[in-house]
Order: sequence, then C-alpha cells, then structure tokens
Amino acid sequence: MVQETLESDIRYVRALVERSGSGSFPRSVYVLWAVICLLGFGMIDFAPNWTGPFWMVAGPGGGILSGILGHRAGVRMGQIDRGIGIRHALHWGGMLVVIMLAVVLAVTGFIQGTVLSQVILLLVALGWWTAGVHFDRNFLWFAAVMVFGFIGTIFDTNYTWTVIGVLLAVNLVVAALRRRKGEAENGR
Amino acid sequence: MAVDRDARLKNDLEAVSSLLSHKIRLGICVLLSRNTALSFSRLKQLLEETDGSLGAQLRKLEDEGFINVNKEFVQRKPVSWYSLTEAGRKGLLSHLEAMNRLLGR
Repeated sequence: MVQETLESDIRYVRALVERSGSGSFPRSVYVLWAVICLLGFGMIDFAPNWTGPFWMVAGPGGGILSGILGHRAGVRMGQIDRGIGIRHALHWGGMLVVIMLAVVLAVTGFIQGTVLSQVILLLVALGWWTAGVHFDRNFLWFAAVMVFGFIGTIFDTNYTWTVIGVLLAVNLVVAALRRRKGEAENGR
Repeated sequence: MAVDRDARLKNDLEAVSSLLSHKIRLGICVLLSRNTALSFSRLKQLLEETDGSLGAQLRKLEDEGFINVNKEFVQRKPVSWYSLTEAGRKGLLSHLEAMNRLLGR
C-alpha cells in the first residue's frame, strides 16, 4: 500500500518535471536569429566588405539581446531559473571567445578571408549542435543545416552563403511558428 | 532479524515527512528545487490545481518554513514568486531519500 502510494507520487512528480521543461528558447530569439542569419550570410555574397563589421556587432549584440529576451520570456511565463541562465552564458560566451580567436588567425595572416568564414561556420555549427544537445533539440537541426551549408561552400558555387542564410532563416521561423502552435495548444 | 527490519521500516516511514506526503506539496517542492523561482500562476498551470487548493498547500509549506514568497509587480500586475528555502531543500532531500529507501526494499 505504502509502496503503491510512493510509486504513484513519483510518477506524478516525474510528469510535472517533464511538463515544466527548461532551457528552450522563446520564439522571439528564433526570429531574432532568423533575421541576423539572413542578413549576415547574404552579406558574404552581396557585400563582403560589410560582413566582418556586421558580425562583430550582430554576434555579441544578438547574444546579449537573446539573453534579455530569454529572461523576459521566463518572467512572463512565471518561471525563473538562474542556473540555466548561467549555463547559457557559459555556452554562448565560450563560443564567442573561440570565434574571436579564429578571427585573430585571419588578422595575423594565418588563414584567408573565405577560409575564416568556413572555419567560423564550423565553430558555430558545433556550438549550435551542443546547444541542441543541452538546451533545445531544434538546434540540432539548425546545426545540421550549417554542416550541409559548409559542404556547399567547399564546392564554391554561386550564392552558397545566401542559400545557407535563407535555409537557416526559414528553419528558425518554422521552429518559432511550431513553438507558438504548441504554446497555444497548451494554453500558454 | 525481522525485528531489525521492522524497526528500519518504522524509521523510514517516520522519516517520510507528513508535510511532503501530500503529492501536491511534494510536486511544489520538487518544481521549486529545479528553478530559482516560480510564480503562483505558473505553479497553478503546472499542477493543474484551483487557486484555493494551491493557495492552501503553499500556505502550509510557507508556515513550515519550506518556501519563501516574494510579491512584486510585473507589467503592472501583482505576481507572487515562490522559492525553496534551505530548510525546504533539506526537508525535500531527506524525504526523497526515505522514499528511495522504502522503495528499495
């Protein structure tokens, strides 16, 4: 009798924990990065001289804005988890530092401009993949799109970077719309 | 031998806190242990309880010093944020350990 009650309590608590979720991104963050990816990747084909300055601002700026949007979404939802916020900061901050160090390789002449873009794409793909593993499963798919895009850049076809940007933007917007539908169904 | 086992069972049953034997209160504490703070409306949504029932369980936990409540305004609406106290965290941990021991028999 006692055992049945305890097992029933455990099942109940486990279902609660699963329902509460944690770590996934709000829709606004998906939309923000859809816009950044569309502009930033397209720029490599259409305005290569603006690509560096754009990403120097949009990368860290987008990260900070994502943190603010994530916190606001948490407050609106009524669920605040500082631990997950710190994990996000460490994950994305670490990725930003590594990208900056890759830029140093280009500045010091160890690698050329196009190769730098490819190296950064791979680093970002890895960062987004691990974000998919630890925070939000949608990021596994976005990372896969980047890896396929990277393979496309090896063949040096026209507008490959723009195609990657469009594919990422479409996938991010679709994920945002799916999340909205899911939230509406859950009555959020 | 059987006396020892019965004594251990009695100890473990006593260790299962009566406060957390209620599954709604247990659920509240587990959810709060995994988050810094949860609002009343979020708890209500997750636990699927009425305002009155949830409020009563939260008050019991607050009276026992298991949880804290912090009231503030978010977008001009009053929001009650609940968090687990250190005593609540310890109580939950010993309750879960006792549950584990009982289920491990």
